[in-house]
Amino acid sequence: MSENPLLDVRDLQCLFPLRKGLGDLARGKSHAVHAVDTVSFQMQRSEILALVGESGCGKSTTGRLLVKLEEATGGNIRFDGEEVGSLRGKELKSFRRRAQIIFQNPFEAFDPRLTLGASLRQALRIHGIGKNQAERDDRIASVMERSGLTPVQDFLARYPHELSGGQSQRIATVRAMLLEPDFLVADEPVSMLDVSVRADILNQLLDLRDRDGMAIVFITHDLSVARYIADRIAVMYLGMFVEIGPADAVIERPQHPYAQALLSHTLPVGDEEPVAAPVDIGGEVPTPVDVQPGCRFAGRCPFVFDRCRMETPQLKATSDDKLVACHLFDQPPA
Amino acid sequence: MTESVPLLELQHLGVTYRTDRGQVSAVDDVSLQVPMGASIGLVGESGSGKSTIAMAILRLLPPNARVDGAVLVNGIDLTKQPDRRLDREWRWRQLAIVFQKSLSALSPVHRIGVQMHDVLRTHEPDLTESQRKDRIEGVLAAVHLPARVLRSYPFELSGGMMQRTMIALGLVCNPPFVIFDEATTALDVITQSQILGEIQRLKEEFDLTTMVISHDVGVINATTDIVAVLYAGQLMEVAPKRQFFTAPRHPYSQALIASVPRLRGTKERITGIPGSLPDLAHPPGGCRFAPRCPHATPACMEHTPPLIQIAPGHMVRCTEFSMKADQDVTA
Repeated sequence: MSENPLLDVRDLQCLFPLRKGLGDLARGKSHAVHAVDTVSFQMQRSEILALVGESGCGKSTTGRLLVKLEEATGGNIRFDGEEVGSLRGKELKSFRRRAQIIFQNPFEAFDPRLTLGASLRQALRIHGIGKNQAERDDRIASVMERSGLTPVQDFLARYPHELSGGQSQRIATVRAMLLEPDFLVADEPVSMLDVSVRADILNQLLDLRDRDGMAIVFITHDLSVARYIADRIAVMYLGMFVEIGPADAVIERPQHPYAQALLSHTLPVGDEEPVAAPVDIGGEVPTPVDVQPGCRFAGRCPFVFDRCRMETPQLKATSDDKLVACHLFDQPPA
Repeated sequence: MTESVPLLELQHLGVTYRTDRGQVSAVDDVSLQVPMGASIGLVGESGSGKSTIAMAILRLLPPNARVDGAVLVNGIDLTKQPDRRLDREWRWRQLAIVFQKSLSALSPVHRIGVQMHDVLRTHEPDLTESQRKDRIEGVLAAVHLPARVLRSYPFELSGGMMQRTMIALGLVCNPPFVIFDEATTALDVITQSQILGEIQRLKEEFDLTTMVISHDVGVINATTDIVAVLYAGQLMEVAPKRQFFTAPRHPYSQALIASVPRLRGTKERITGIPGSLPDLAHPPGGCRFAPRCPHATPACMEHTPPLIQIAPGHMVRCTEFSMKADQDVTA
């Protein structure tokens, strides 16, 4: 990785404490859900990283931690060289402008009592962008036009309920873009939309990477979408990265057994060559409460062996330009 | 497809809602035949009328809906059956449906076992307590659920287990025909693929004829052999699955397939379909897809093209083909 990554995440951890029972109080014990555990990665400008995994794997929590909507309980995030956890006052406000997030449900992204124009102007006013109303309106109009949301005045006068899902999501993206952020977290931005409008949102994000050099963390459960949009893909399982690497390498040659299972269960469209026979993994994703040492996938892994139950595998470079956390690829030298 | 009489036949099915804004035509002149043992997929954007067709088949539409045409099951028109009869003899026993929102389809305050017994007691009153028990255990085993779910309340189950419960409930009266209305949409990738695999297996085991409703062409690909494409309440194309995916003829089908990113092969830029569904209270004259169609001509705006057969089992509603057909007739 280069000297100056935009984002440098080290051992990021987020534990959610559980309510204590009477017995726990007596014994002085506490329990916690390990939503995100020792996640480390770097991101450059003009790069899209997809976080993929099933519900509960910690991908959304990771996204929220990255833009400081959730406080990390361990590790640190450096954004453009600055430690995000220690930002206060002016610096924090500047970070809030530079790091934006868009969510899955576009219908809940706007204040239902404000027109879209009012919502968009508010974002600019809070961050003191534009000298006066006219300048702010110009800026809104130019971003809207670029996103194909015309006639602009017609959209600005509407209320959120008067939009379709696709339009809402595009305007949510516009609102994030108005502040010219360097970094965007897109949390399942297309999974509630019809396929006919998904393509527009995805292409809009690709355009932001190419034209504005934006770095984007794209959270999705859909590997086909991840392959389309991302430069790199990170596969998460129970709060940890199990495999990360160039999108094509992860999709075409997944190494971690969980990544293989996930890919083999992704439905092909039409006459695509059949994906490998489904890798059979039993059960469902457990909740990571009070995790024990050892690999978190060990209980469902078809290739499990003794070491997996004792020692947590670390991300190690493989010959394929990837990092994989699996003892299968980390045999101690004989 | 040895049977000559299709298990399900829709004849000019229409659904119109009376609303404050006037008549909304949600389903317009849909005719379909589903042979015994086949699986038909209904695909289209939200608002295209997919679920409305399912609800019309089972007669579960709200009172402001008017249904035209006929729904024939084994040649008997369900739209003419009295309510009581429909409930006793047809729903569950002949036709079952598995919905997307399984959590809201079950009572939250009764254990799942109680609810399954209720269904059997109502629809098959002749069964004894122990016959009911055997039947329920049988369907649970078929969907790989442990018997302990019978003692559970719906909120205690995961999404995958709930959906399996709904499938088991759908099969409990051994219906020959089951509708899956976005039955796996809210599930995770692996769970979805496992459940779709189970549906395929159950189809063989229970000799089912199915209708699969989904906006996801991957699901349609995995579970059906005939694909019916709906747009704004009208059938735009009906084709054998292979033809739909490899050589779709209607511009809307082509656009739908071109809007989905692929997991394999060369990475091509996907394109959306500009515009949105027309207002069904005031549908556009001519072809309903014309305002969004990249190949639309003035002729498309004038006349609604008929659904015409272009190959065995392959029908298309597009002016391009209907004009060609007219020329062939005059020539």
